[in-house]
Amino acid sequence: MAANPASPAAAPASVCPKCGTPAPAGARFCNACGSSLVVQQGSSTGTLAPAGAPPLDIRQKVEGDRGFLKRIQLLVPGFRGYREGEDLRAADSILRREVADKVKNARLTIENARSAMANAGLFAPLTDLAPLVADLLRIEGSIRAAEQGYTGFSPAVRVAPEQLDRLYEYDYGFAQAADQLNQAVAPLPGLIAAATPDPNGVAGVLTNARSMLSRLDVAFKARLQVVEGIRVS
Amino acid sequence: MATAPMARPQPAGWGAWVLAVLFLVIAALVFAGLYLAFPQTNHWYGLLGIGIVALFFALGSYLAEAASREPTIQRSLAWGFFGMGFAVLLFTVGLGTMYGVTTLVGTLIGLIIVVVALFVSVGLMMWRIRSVARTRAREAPRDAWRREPSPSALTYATATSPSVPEVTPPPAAGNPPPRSP
Repeated sequence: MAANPASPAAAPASVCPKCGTPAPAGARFCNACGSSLVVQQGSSTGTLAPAGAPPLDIRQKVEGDRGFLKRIQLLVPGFRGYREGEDLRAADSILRREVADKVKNARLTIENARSAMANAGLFAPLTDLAPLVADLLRIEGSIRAAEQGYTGFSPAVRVAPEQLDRLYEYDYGFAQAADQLNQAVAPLPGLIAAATPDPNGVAGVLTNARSMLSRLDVAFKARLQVVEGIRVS
Repeated sequence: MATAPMARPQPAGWGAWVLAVLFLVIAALVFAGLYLAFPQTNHWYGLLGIGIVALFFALGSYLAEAASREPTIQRSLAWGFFGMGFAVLLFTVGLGTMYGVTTLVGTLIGLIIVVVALFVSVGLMMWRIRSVARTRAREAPRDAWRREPSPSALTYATATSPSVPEVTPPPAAGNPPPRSP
């Protein structure tokens, strides 16, 4: 697909968020898989609200798109709470998938930077990259397959729809954080591709990313406890 | 995938009114048929049948609420058939002895069954009304959340615990930090 350097919405020189192939500056579509490289400002995948904007509510979409059978379930006394809980979990699952994709995007940027760094002779920061990529993989997996707030028939701690709402709203913060992570690692290709690569600049970006990641990890591990209100702090 | 606002309830169109009237006509024909199907001396059984069928119509109208985003007509029909069904059953069973169709014991047993069914129905209704009210109550905090700018998990109190190092801003271009020894 022809590149359009004049397009203001086209992504800068980066990698395809779907397949990870490096893309030339201004390219609107990936040369390898054909995925769109055009992203909305402030959002790595163009799905969730940009920074500082009111959040988009996937819960509304899921609840508004209920079909006939799901609406019948809402009419059955005692079944309504189950249906509402399931729909909230579905919305949270969609949200977390989006967040995991954003984290994956950050990981692909770093993984692509790794070979570029080796080619540019920046060997010192390479030692920091492996644990960073491993952490990103682990957190991406944790976010994608996180606890959804299920409870049994007579649970010790009941997860009510109100708490699932809070869980969704808590998880929404990770979308913003993942965007910040993407913005933090975005300068990496440029720093490596410079005529005289700056090892300190690269190390600074990686340190910043590692710090953000550890904070993200702590906040994500505490999500269920925070929402249930039984966290020991 | 951008989230679209939830589909707002639309006022019932003329098609819904036509269907409702058609359904009422069919219901009236069924009731008349049931009443006339029995000979004059056995109309009591016809009335009993009308009461039971009206309750089934009420259940059908109630479940038909799922077919529409603005189910005012279905809800009205459900309440109407519900009231009619239990009223007909109560009077038919209660007055059975007066017309010599049932014994006193039979009437009492019949009344107990109808009253228990009425209480169970009302109990289920209360259960559902309460859960609908709880769903509505959840909308207020959701609306408040939607009006606020989206937060970042990096600003959560859990993320900024003392055990986690502070985030340092990336070094400005052309002004690299001092190299470590």
